[in-house]
Amino acid sequence: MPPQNSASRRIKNISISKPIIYGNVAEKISESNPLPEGAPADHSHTWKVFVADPLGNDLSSYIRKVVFKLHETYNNPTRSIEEPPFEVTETGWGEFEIAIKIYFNNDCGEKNITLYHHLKLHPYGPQLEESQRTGKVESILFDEIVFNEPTERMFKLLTSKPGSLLPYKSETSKFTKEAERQELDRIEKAFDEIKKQIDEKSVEFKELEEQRQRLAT
Amino acid sequence: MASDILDVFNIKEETRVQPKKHARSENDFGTSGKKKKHALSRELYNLIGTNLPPVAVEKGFKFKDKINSGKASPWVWAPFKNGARSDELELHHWVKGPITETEEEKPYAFEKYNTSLDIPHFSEEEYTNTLKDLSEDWDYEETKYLFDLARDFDLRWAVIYDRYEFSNDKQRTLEDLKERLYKVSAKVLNSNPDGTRDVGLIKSLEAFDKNQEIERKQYLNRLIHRAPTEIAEEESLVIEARKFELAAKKMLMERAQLLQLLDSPQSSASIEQYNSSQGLTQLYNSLMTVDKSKKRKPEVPVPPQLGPNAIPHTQQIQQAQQNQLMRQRQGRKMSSVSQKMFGGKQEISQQQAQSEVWQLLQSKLTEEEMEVYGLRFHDEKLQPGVFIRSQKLSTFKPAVQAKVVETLNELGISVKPTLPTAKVCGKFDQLLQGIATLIDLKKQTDKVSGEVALIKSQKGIE
Repeated sequence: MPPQNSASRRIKNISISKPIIYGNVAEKISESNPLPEGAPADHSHTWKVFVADPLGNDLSSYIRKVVFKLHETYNNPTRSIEEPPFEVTETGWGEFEIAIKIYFNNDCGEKNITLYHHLKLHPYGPQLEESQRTGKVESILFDEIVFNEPTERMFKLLTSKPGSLLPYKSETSKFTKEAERQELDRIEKAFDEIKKQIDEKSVEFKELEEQRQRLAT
Repeated sequence: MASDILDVFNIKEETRVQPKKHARSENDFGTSGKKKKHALSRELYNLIGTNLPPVAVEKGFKFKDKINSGKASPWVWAPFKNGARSDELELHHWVKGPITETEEEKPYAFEKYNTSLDIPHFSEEEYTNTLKDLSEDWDYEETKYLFDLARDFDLRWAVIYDRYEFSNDKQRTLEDLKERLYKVSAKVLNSNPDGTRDVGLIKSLEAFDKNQEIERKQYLNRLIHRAPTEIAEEESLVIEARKFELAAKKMLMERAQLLQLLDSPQSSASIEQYNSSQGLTQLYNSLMTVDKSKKRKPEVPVPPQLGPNAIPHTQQIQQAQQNQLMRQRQGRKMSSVSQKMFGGKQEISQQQAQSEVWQLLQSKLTEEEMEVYGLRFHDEKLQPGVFIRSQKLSTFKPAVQAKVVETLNELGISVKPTLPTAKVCGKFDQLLQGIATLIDLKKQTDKVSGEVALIKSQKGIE
């Protein structure tokens, strides 16, 4: 079979999703975390932005490279990482939005996709207290890359290794089955609330509408 | 030569076929005179070719009328009597002669235009007997005067009103005169001794309403005396009113749609309600109306395309079996695909991995196994390509979106799910749609309640 075919032919009616995590960790400059050599003196944090598998599996089976677009004031702001781990370590003092472009294997016939991540250096909300103790801040997001009707080549790459299942419980990661369950419950509850409101409103609406028609005639 | 000119005018040969035939057939029936015509205008014929001239010239080749073609007709100075005159006056006029005996006897041609209106007559006796009770205000003399005037001026009301001078102490308006004349006429006609009555005429006479007539004239008066600014204002008001009408129509339509939407079942409700054929039909209808932008439909059985109304219970089971079969077939297709893909490869390690996949696909995959690979089968058509799951959540018009976000905040739900898996996103999308429906519903409810209040205040209730 010529490679052209398996790279362009798509398998109908299936989709494959791959979970990823992306985001940044940051740490304040301190005695235990000194400013690296050559970094400007006004930089207050070291940080690392990354794209990874939630279970630490290898992403390079289907991801060719990841390009991080940093703030223009950095030297060489477009960082192209072609080998795992897909991450950029830098120092800085300010937060900004990082565009993360993920390129898939050349042969797979898929376009690249772009994620946006707001680099987080300063803690707020529930993280605040813990961060003040450790000096560490993190902003890690979970998402799924969905391949609708993947090409045969891509299908092969994606199914060559199992293991994108979320762990039921984990000490290290907050992205677990349990968390998913909780989130589903939360949404379900909210949805029930909305449904209740819709029902109430529709009763009210219908009554008003009837009243209006009665009055109009 | 003709063809040259035709070329200049860009006329095609085919278009001339029809007139050509026509011309020929005409020639076949043609008289010698017509042939002569062609002979005479041969040069012209060459110029125009077989086309008929655009204007049909019947007398064609001679454009001047013949002068002195016949004898001059005699005109005679003849006397005549006008039958419309009462005084036997004899006048003369020129008539195209010669005059025969019978012609002289003929009545004057314009006599017939001297018509008079058939206004009912009544005597003083009749008046006192039948008409006196009609009105206290009128007496016989004045009524008679009115009728005479009406007869004299052929019911030209403006003139009658102008000439009406019966007494100085009673000022009659035009409407008074009309009312009097019509009423008396109706009465007279009604009591016609012949017994023949024109019911239609009497009815129309009796239908006269003085007050309405006065009102009508007032309206007309006001209409004609409008100032230009008033006219402009009126026009703008009409336009405004039309706008209101359109808006109202649109709103009513939106409301009807919403009502329909509310009557259809919520797609989020438990699947049990769809287990009856009726439920399935309802579901089908509601799915048809669900926003097309919604990416993922809930995992519920979808009835087949044919006959959404006719799915008996037994068929439903069959259908479920069919669905299963279809899935199996898909699975088999998949496996054959992977077979093709992996066939002919030599490396052992790869073959192991492949056979694993192959086997997984061949056996019926459990849900969990599918999840390991993130694999999903879809019944609906997918848009091929890659995307980020959380970026495909429903979005709305900016105004609605802002309210959706607000509602999410009130509910304590973040704007984007923290774990956007397929399940979570599906649920989240439902939530978003629900919120959008609620917002729409609130808007419409506010509108209706406003309207109800308006109608109430207009009708003076409350």
